[in-house]
Amino acid sequence: MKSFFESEIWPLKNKLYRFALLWLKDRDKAQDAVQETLTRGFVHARALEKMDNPKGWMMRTLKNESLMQIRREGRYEVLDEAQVVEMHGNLESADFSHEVKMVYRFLDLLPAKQREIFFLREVEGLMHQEIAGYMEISEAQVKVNLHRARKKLKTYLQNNEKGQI
Amino acid sequence: MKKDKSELWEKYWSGESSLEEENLLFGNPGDLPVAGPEKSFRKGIVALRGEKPKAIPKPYAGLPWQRLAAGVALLCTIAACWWGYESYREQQRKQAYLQVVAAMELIQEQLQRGSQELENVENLKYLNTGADWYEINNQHQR
Repeated sequence: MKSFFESEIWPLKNKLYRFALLWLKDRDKAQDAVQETLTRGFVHARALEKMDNPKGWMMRTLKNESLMQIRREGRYEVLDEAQVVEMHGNLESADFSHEVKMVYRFLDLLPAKQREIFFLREVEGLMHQEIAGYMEISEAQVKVNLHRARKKLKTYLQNNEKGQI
Repeated sequence: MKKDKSELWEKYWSGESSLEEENLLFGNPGDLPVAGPEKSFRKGIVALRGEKPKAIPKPYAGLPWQRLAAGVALLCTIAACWWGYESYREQQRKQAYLQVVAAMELIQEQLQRGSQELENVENLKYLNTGADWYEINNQHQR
C-alpha cells in the first residue's frame, strides 16, 4: 500500500517544478526548490494528511522557498513579492525559447495573484475549483482574475504583434 | 477546422471556454495550427506544459526498509548485550558462591583444629599427678 506522501504529494513534482520555474526562471534552481519542498512535505507528511488542502500547502511552501532563494541570492532584505520578481527578472540570459520567454514576460506584468491563477489554468490545465483550492480563494475570484488576465494578454499580444513591446 | 479554431479563441478571450476546449487550444501543437498573435503565445504555453524536472530523488527513498533493518539490528544488539551481561553476572555469582564455600570450609577447618587444640589444653586442668603426666606423654607418643 502506498503511503500518503507517495500517493498524494510525490505525483505533484512536475506541477511544482513548473510552478517554481514561474518564480525562478532557472531549471536548476527550480529543481532545488522542488526537492527542498518535497523533503519538507515528506517530513510533515503526517500533518499534511490531516490538512484539508495539502496540495495548497505544498504550493505555498514552494512559493516561499522560491522567494527565499531569490532573496538569498540578491541579498535583498525586505522586499515584497512584486519587487522580488521585478529585480530577479534576468530572463534574457535564461535558457528558454523565444516563445516561453514571451509568456514569462507577460506573466511578470501581471499582479501576483493573477499571475498564479493564469499559470495554473493555462499551463497546468486545472479547473477553477482546483485553482480555488490551491490558492484558498473562492471560485468567483478565480474566474474574475482569470478573465482580467486574459484581457491583458489579448492587449499584450496585439501590442506585441504591432511591435510596441 | 479553421472556423472551429477561431471560435475556440473567441470563447477563450471572452472567458467562456471549458477546460477541454482550452486543452484543444494548448494541446498537441500538430492538432490545431494557429496563426496570428496567438501563435507565439500558444507555442510558449505548449513548451511550458512540456517542462519536466530531471530525476528528483525521492526524499529518503526506501526509508521503511532502512528503519526496519536499523530497528532489527538495534534490537539484536540490545538482546546480545543483555544476554552477555546476564551470563557475566551469572558467572560472577557462581564464582562468588564458590569463594564463599571455600572460605567457609577454611574457617570450619581452622575451627576444628582450634577445638582439638583446646581439648588438649582442657585436659591439662586436671593434671595433678606425675602418673597423669606420664599417661599423656605416652598418648602423644602413640
